[in-house]
Amino acid sequence: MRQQNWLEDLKKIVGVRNVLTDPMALLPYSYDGYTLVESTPRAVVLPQSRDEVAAVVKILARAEIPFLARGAGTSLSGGATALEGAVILHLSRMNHILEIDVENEVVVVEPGVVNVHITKAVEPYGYFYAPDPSSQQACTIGGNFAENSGGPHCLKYGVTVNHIVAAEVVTVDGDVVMLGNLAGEIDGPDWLGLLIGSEGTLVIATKLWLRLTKQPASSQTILALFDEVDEASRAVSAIVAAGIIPAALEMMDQLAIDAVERGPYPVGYPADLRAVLLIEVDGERHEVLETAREVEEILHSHRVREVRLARTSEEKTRWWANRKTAFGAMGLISPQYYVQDGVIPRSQLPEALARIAAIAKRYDIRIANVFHAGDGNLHPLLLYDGRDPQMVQRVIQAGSDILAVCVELGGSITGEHGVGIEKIEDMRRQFGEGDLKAQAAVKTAWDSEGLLNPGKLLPTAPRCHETGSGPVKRD
Amino acid sequence: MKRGSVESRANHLAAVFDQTRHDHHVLCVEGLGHRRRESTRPVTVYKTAEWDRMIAYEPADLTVTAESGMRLSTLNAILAEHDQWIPLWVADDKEDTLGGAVSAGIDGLWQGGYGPFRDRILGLRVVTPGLGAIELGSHVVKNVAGYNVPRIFVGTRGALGVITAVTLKVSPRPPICWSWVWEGDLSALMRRAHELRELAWPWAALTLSYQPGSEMRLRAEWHGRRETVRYLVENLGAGGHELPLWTEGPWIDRAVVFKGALPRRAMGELLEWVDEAALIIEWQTGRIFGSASRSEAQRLAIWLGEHQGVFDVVSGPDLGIAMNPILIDAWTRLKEAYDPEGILG
Ligand SMILES: Cc1cc2nc3c(=O)[nH]c(=O)nc-3n(C[C@H](O)[C@H](O)[C@H](O)COP(=O)(O)OP(=O)(O)OC[C@H]3O[C@@H](n4cnc5c(N)ncnc54)[C@H](O)[C@@H]3O)c2cc1C
Repeated sequence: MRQQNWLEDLKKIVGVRNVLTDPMALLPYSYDGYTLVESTPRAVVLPQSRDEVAAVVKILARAEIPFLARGAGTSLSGGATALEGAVILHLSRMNHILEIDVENEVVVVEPGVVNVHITKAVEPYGYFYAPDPSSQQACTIGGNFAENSGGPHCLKYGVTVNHIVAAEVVTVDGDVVMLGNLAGEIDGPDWLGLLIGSEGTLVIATKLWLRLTKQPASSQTILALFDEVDEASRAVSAIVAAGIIPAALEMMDQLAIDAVERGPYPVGYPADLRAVLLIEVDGERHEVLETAREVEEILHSHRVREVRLARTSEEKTRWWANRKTAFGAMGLISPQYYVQDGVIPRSQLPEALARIAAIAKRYDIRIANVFHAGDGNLHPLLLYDGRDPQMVQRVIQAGSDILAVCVELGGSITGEHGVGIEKIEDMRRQFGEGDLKAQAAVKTAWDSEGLLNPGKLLPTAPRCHETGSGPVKRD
Repeated sequence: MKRGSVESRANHLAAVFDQTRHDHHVLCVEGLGHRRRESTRPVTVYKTAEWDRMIAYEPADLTVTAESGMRLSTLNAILAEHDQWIPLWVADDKEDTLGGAVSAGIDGLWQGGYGPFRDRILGLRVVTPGLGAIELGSHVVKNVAGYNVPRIFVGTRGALGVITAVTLKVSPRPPICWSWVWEGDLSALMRRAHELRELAWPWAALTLSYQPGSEMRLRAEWHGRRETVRYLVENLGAGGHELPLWTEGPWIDRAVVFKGALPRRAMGELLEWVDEAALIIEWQTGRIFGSASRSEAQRLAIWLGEHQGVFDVVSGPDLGIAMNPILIDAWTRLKEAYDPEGILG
């Protein structure tokens, strides 16, 4: 094939309207939820089926043009931003729920299906899809597959890798492979487990079989209002130490509370509150009653100011909406915000929060904390004004210092948002040279030419691909 | 005699790799030896059962790191002091080491209540011929930094490296475990299993078991609070603590011990079809475990393949189940990095 014909060939596969090259049309694709790096893709292609994805990939691979898949573009680590002149395969047209297989407790979906639509579709059958990222109103299952996304209820129910039983994927050569099975059991090497969370750098998922979870018979949502962050953190540890794994155990600090109370779903938190825990227990009804009672006891032994139990489903829904819109609410107290994502052993929560507060002070910035306290997954939100370049630099440095704290305390540089572009160098904090080589071998095994989503996840020297027609802006 | 500190494992293993290479053998790493697959090549067996040190345990974090030769029962005895455990109960009641359970891809009957064992594996320390000693995964319960490489060590029987330490997520021990059993006609038991799922959920295990020549048995096991067990006793009768899994006698190893899974829809059909194999199905998840003659195992593997199920040999002959050629390519490239000379088989 003549290399310059690749664009025409793509148009033949997906139709002229579904290949975008106009700079104005490419603009929205030049970044994702991580806005600190912008890079315009060489083109955007919108395939509608597995066969179209495979054909597009074959054309690009033969022309040695790098490429990547994109879902809703909500990645917070730059995973969906095209580097090195890559072409984006935007999978928004592959957005169908193909089958709800109640008997096998599986739902079959295309990758462009929005996360929350799955639970809505299976609710009438008494099921839900457990991984519930706060972005679930927008993010797609393909993106969740790539990022191994979590969410508040993952404390009890597990993250995406625990809920995908099978996947049809297109390899970098355009071959279609089926991994996993309806039974949800591994069959030889656990390739599926390896590919979930590989940040779109190994394969493109074109169809997914998701495990459905039975709706719990009963649940109780609890709000615990604290005058001290430290006491709230200790209460978290005490709940876990008592052998209780709630469905969710979330925490917000004062600055975060201030923001969410200005948002569309205020709960009516007192203005002087220092921390709030949002706790949900669910399961068999006797288990829930007893567990909720025990949680209340623990909270009262930790100087809680007030404990509220949700009395109606409306109240519960509002509390959750208040929590799940917390990132967006930062816009109400700051021109911009930068979300960090790190994990610490949960016993280190008081120490980690104290050190984050010290970092905020050192860099003279405000940091709000909204996070999955039950599994030690921190989300410090670093507030800044993008018009102040020095402040931007301070925020980036503070973010990096927070990750250093996570690693120092025995944790991880990311619990759910991925490495992407953002943390590529931070990988060296967590892993040694040999460990990184072991990971690089995985990349080579699936994509020896480095064509799929280059410049992400692994801190290797950038490869020399032909760049796109315009200069690739990366700032 | 213990073979040195955790740090010296890599040096020691490097020498073992050299010797194995020199002997033109394949290195077969073994925990307790219950999960051995027959090999056609000359094998040097290397036992890890003496590597049994606790490396880190923080009860408040619900994580533990121990050397790979530690027995699960030893680990659980330590965790019990803090009312915690690794809930892995394999139907043949055999002991496993941590590394052995990971390498053989072992799983147990409590998957319905606790999820698969592989979901507990947070990190591994591994020594490979190609890359030396490496750390994979992390020590915290949530982590997406880099590729989930520990997954590729589950069930691959040490073909990429020798696991020297394992980090696991632990669970709180429930206040009470209680069980009920029923025997008789398959369709009545299946109806009962369905009713049990409506009555309460999730059961730690809901199993249907069959041994040639004896009756089908349904067994339900609840792990949780006393109030729930009281409620279940009111509905199901007295039950008992640890009622037996099988109707008659103990578990008998036949030529092939197998595990696998099948879609929920096909579970009843399999129990109607099975004849000469001892078989147990976990009714909430479709996971199976059993033992059969070689020919019966082969028939079963084919049946499961036709019904979108999975069959895997835990111990016995290799039945030669084929891998997709694209996946063979990926595997070959991984092997080139981790074990370029094929010392590990
Ligand atoms: C307000 C907000 C809240 C968030 N809350 C959470 C949260 O609670 N938990 C959490 O885990 N994340 C959260 N996120 C992050 C983000 O939503 C998730 O990472 C999500 O999974 C991304 O999905 P997406 O469809 O937007 O994917 P994109 O951003 O489009 O892509 C993300 C990555 O997936 C790859 N990809 C996309 N589709 C495919 C496919 N079919 N095959 C292979 N690779 C593919 C891309 O190449 C890219 O590397 C949040 C983000 C925002 C903006």
